Amino acid sequence: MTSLLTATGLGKRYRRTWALKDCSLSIPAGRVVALVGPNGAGKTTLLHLVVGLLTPTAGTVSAFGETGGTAATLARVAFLAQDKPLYDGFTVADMLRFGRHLNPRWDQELGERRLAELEIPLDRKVGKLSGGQQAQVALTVALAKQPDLLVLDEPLANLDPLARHEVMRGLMAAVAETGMTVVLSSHVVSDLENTCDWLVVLNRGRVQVSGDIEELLAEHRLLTGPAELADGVAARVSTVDDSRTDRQATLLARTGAAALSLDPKWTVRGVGLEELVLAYLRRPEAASLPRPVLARA
Amino acid sequence: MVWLTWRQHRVQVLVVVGFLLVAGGLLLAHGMRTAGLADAFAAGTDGRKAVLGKQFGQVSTLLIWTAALPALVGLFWGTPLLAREYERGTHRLAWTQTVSRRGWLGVKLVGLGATVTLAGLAFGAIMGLWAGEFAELRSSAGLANLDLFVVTGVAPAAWWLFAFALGTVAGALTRALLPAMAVTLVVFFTVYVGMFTSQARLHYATPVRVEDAAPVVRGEPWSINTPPGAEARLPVGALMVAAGWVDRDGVALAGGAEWTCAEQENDYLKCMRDNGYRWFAEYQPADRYWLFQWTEAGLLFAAAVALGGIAWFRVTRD
Repeated sequence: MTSLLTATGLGKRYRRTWALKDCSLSIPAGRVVALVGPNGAGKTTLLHLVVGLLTPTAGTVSAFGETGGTAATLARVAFLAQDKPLYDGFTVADMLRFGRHLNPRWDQELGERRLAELEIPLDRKVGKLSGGQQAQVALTVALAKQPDLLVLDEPLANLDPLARHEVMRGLMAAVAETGMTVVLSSHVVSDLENTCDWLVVLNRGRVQVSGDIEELLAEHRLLTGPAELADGVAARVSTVDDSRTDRQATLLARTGAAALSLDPKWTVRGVGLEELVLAYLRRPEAASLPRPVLARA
Repeated sequence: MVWLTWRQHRVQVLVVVGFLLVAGGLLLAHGMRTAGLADAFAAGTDGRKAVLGKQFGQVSTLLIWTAALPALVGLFWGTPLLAREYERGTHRLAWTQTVSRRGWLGVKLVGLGATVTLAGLAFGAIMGLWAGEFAELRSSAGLANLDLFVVTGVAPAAWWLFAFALGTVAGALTRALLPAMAVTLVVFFTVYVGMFTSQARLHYATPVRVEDAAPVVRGEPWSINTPPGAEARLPVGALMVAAGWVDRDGVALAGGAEWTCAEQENDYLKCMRDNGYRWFAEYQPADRYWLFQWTEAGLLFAAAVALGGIAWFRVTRD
């Protein structure tokens, strides 16, 4: 498993507050990574560090083995910032020209074909397009750069449901075609459920979860049973979230893939992605990170 | 990058080119008309001077407004360069392309800075050609007229470049267009007006000093520090720095001492001389025009480079 994106002890401080602290991550190539977390968790800061818009206060971040933000990485990374900034006064054709002049790897034909398929007129001013069309133009500029890593900050925010679907479909088609790695942030987990295969949960500036989504779902169980037995069960499993009423306890636990032998009064079922994320976000002290592995020399 | 710079700033470039063409055309017409009118009189005659003076007055009252030109350059070339990118968030688009942030900023600063400087040089040349028609006039020759000094020669280019750098820095620091424009306007006019009120230009070089022998020209308005004919005694095109009286020991007269002769209105100068006082004047001769032009340009260029450095640091730091 080769790591495409690596962060080690990464931190960013604005004046006195740490927007991101002690963040260590390793993301394999070819993944579609969902970066989730509440507003203010540090998602945007992390993405800006990856693409070099910010320089770290502590630690390092690297893509393709090169420090983030250097010329060598910028040639291979495309970034779609929050609010999908474009030059309002430019025509759509100007935006393609912008990409062509600033990127040697630019694929003009890909850009033109994609816009034609979306029926976005090249001579229209960007400011006159609908929100969904602007998102598509911004995504086209990012894709025509032919990146190996595509970083998207809240790509679906401010879009209507139809546009969300269209943008996501376009993105997934491009991923299927090129095999590039994608990192996208969102605070709406349901947007990402069917498209992403790697999950990173960021909460209060720290990484809580980083792992393959299928494995994460397989490792976690929701246990429901009588409250008086809950302490005994909680002691045996690694509990993420624990909510109890007078009579009943519900534990979301990291049980591992192995089967559990519990009192028959307990019911055990699998968890959904949204349940899992919410359980971690409610308990910022819980963490599910890959167990330490020997670093390759 | 060059295409992008042109695409984003072409309106400003075209407006300035248009302005230079219009201003150049109008001043050329005015200069030719002046030459035609003045040629009816022989050189050095009062009639010729009267015509030149009248023609000069038609335009010179507008000179004060040329202060707005570098301010406009600062507002419309300088501030949008960074402030508009930050404000719209497009810096996140521009600075994540393969062209590095340094490359982006370098091309913009150097490309636009050079364009502004060239346009300022063209404006200075146009104004200089026009002002040349009036070189015979005491009020417009050489260094005599500082309002003219700042719009001729290389000074306007330096002021335009300075204002451009100032606007750029204001945008880098405020990251919003309107505050950046406000800062640019306030700082620019503080510096521009300050250069006049502080009289800093009088001291670009050690002045030439003359003493005594002020001719008496009766009937002219005069004050005690500037005896009659004092200005006229200076060479044409000279810039007056200081004037006054010194006693036998060469010590400048303290306030009030000159009143010993104040009541002798008609024989004031004779009285002063009889008492051993000598009149002196310090001035900058007209042939220092280019020395002063390059001094002013050098100072402003250094300031512009320093401001550009601040913008560079601010943009490339985080």
